[in-house]
Amino acid sequence: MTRSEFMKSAFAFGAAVAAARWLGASMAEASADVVRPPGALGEDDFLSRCIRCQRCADACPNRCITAFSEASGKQFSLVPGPGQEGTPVIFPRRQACNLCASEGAAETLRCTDACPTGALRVVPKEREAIQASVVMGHAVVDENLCYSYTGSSCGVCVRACPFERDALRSGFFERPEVTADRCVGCGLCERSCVRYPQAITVVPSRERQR
Amino acid sequence: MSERRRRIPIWPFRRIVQISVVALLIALPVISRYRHYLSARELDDLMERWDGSVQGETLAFTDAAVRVGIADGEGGVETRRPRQAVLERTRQVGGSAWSANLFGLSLTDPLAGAESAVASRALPWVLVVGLIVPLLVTLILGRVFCGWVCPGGLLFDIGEKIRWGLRRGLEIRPLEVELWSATKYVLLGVGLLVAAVSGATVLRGIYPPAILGREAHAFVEALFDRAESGRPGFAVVGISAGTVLLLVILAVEVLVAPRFFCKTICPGGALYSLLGRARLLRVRRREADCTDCTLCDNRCPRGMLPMTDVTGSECDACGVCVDVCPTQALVFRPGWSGDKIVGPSAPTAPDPAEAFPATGGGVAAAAGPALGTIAVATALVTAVFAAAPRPALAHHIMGVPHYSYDENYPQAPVLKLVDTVGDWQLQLTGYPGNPVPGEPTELHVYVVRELDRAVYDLPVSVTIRQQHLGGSRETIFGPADARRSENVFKFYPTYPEEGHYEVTIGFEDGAEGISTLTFPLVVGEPGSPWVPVALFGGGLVLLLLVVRAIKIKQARRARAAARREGGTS
Repeated sequence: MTRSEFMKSAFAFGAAVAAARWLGASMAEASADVVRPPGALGEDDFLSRCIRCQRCADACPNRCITAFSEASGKQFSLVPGPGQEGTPVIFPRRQACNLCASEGAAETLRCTDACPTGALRVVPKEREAIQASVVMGHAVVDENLCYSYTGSSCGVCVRACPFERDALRSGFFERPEVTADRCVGCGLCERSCVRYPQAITVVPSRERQR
Repeated sequence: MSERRRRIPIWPFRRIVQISVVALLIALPVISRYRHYLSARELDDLMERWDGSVQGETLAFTDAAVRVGIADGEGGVETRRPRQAVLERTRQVGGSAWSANLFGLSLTDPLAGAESAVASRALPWVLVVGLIVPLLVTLILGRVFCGWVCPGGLLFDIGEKIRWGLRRGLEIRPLEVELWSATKYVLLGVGLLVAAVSGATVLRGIYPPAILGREAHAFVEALFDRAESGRPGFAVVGISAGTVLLLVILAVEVLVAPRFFCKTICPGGALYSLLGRARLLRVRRREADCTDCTLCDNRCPRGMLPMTDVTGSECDACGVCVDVCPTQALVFRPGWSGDKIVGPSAPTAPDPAEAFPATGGGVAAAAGPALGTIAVATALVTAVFAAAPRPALAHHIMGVPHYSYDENYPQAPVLKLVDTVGDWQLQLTGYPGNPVPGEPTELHVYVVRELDRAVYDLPVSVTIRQQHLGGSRETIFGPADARRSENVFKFYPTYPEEGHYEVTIGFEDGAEGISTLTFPLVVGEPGSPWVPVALFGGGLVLLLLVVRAIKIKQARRARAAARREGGTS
């Protein structure tokens, strides 16, 4: 191989690497913010690690995990980005994660146990462990919409919260008060909200770290 | 040769395994659904409600199948459904052809593992555990996944049959393009390089088992979702671009390049070929029995040449050559090297000096892998069925009030569309989430300034137009104005029929005058305009083909009759 040939192939290789990097970056840019199953890695790592095998969805007793597609996200104005098609996603409005509450015998959250690649880290089914490691997002209250903030008294979301009096507190007139640091983003509050548009919604987290 | 014992053919075993895999692809998501309904104490209601439809029958069949061997009765009540035991059993399986959990055995496709590990630059223990069995099997048996398990392999086998039918019955000679068979290794390398550099996984997008697994899941999910929204019955729903891609590949295989995908494109096949290079079980030829008839060389779906001992790492142990060999010179034999068996012919007792000692004659060696698979599967199933049921446990944990998903507070609308224009964010929610044509519905519009969360105060107008085929639009609601009430704007449209609608919301935006936002809205399940076109086109092509087939048959019969007459006179 002559020097010019070497230079040419090195240049081509460099260009290909740059193109691939650009592809990866632009894919991350165009991806939608969604609620992932508990224990999910940060979005970029998650998308690299996840093989879209649907084992977490199959394992979910509450069937809140669905494959992200144009059809499944349509009714929530969520469109999968280039690398997000087929990835597991939770639409709390449709069905929220109940942290395997119906699975009495489980030692771990079922989906995290089912994941074959570690895209979902194993989360023990214990209150402290869940609150320490699960950050699907955090709940946000819209005070314009919430009945308890607009002259009525409701409190449905507070009663739905698995971490009541910790992540979600009931204030004056049963006003929901979110402690973002303690909220895991399960979405049970959003699912339970009787107002529509929902007064309390989960804002997904991209990094999913405390 | 005639005194030689007839060998058990391999192909029925292979077809059984392949069809079982396809059945599993559908069964796993169905079992997941079944478990969900059972867990939510909804199963009996739903089976009754969906009685007679495909969903109801599927649930009833699943119920009967998973309860085999579990006695009725739970918690001292004899007639009660054995809920916990059944739940525990259904938890033993899940996944797709890409990665599955079968009775506690985690199986992950090596391509999935390679791509995931390279893209994320990590090799977690769970991934290694799932790769152990597939890697061992491939190292020992070679590319058997492709020939025996891959649902894409079955699809392309069907393609080959169609090709045969075209040639035979219709006298259409499809093209036979040969592609460079090393392309798949290049693709595998490029794919893994892209994964390493960008972190994006791309190979799964063209890998048939991954595509089929996802499509099967999406199909089952959509079918049951459809029933849940009040439309039990069969429909082709949930499938996406992946199915289209596979059908295009199938069409190319049938008409242009036979078996090109497995031979030249499939990155998973490339990985399996590389891993199986030093496999122990391979097709070997007893030179003394071979009559050089070339039947095996012509039939090999991978383009190998068993007659000249060219059964390289691409061999997927499908056994076609072994089945087709008239003198039974080709056999599956374990061994460390070489493809040729030098020595006496088969019926003679195995000679200790033989380079590859027989494991029990041609019959056992041929049926060996299939019987082994069946034996392992039977053992696994028995083990699970023997597992003792677990006692019933409380289901009210961490204060979550979940007995049933119907009891999960009022059933809320599931439609929530969000968009922004200028400083304003618009949220459109509808009740019910799946509107019924002819019945009044509610639309709530919420307009809020993103900066200070101030609610929009002036009237908002809504116009709803139905989109007809051909692009024309008909206004079916509004323009109607509404004043703010409880901080939202409420409208009560009625949709005349199933179809595609667009909801246009107009409001005055201080600086820019009137702003409008349009949301698409689908009511019911309007048929695509392409369906009748495709049905008509497909039907027409089929009709022409049938006519051609009949004509060819008549011509053949006439020729045969003429020949017979010529012979007698």
